[in-house]
Amino acid sequence: MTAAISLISSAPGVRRVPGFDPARPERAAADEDDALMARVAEGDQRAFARLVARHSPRAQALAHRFTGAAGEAEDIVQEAFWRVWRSAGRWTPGGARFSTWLHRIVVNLCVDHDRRRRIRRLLPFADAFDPPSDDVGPERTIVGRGEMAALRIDIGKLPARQRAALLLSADGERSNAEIATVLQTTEKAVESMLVRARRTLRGKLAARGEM
Amino acid sequence: MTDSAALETLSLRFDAYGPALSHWPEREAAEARALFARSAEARRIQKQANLLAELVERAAEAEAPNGLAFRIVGEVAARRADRFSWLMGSPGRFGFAGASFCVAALAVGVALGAFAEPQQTGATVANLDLGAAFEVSLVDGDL
Repeated sequence: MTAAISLISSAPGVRRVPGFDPARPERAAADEDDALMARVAEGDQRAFARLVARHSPRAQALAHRFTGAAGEAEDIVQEAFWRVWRSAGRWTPGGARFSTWLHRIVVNLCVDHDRRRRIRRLLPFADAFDPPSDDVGPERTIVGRGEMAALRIDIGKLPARQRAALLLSADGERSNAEIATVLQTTEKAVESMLVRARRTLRGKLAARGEM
Repeated sequence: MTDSAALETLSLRFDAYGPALSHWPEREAAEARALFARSAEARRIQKQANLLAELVERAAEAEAPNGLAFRIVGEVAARRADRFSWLMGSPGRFGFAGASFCVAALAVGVALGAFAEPQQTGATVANLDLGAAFEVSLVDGDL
């Protein structure tokens, strides 16, 4: 599969995504975020509250689907916004979009959280440390919410970076270049992660007869 | 490229770029459209990619809990207040630590002074035989 991925990645023009300019429709929103960040840097709490209201639902959804638990996701999003508040003075308007920066913080916190959880699982009495996930378990999947719950479990089992790339691409609004910026990697690496993630999911869906 | 190889490439491109051809590089999108026109299997692959994308999009949705933004703003305000009070308490805290360090250093110094064996006293200096050195200095003077 690696050869096939490189076949795609080495295709001429693969870096360009013609007809797709995510910045244009969201430029006004990005400018407003820049203005709000400038006010946050001066200690304006109302501007901060407005930023939180604009961006927290999407950040929460990303962290929730990454961790599989709403409570843990909220802790992550709170920590991310605390970092936004502390770093507001270093924000440079006109550079990366605020949402890209915020999602980078959220993804990094999610990956750290995932790593810590995997280490904790090696410890005795690991269940005492891990709060239960609010996703349905495999035994409830069949009689519960069916294929959607099973798919969420499958997504949760993907390697952390593949999971992050897939969730960032899920709404179809971000280009692979933007996802690469969030994940601090190359577009080629993002394509590779997405190919692996989607192939894994398709295989599992096919095995359950859902595709 | 044979059709089977083209179909394999098409499938990989769907996985890499997603189902919306508008997100694809122009040349690859044109190749895909040409393939859809002549191959039912290509259209089946496209349908499958759309289905997977739709399922993943639905699986990735999560409603924000009620009061999320309010709690985040409250948490950040509380952390700011904690940080402020910690900084305000710092002179007292560090002053106490500094005074404790001085007292401890003084106590150690007194203890060393009281119990340590003297290395060299005035008497030992007085008992030194400086005769040889004196003679050498006289010879040096003659030279």
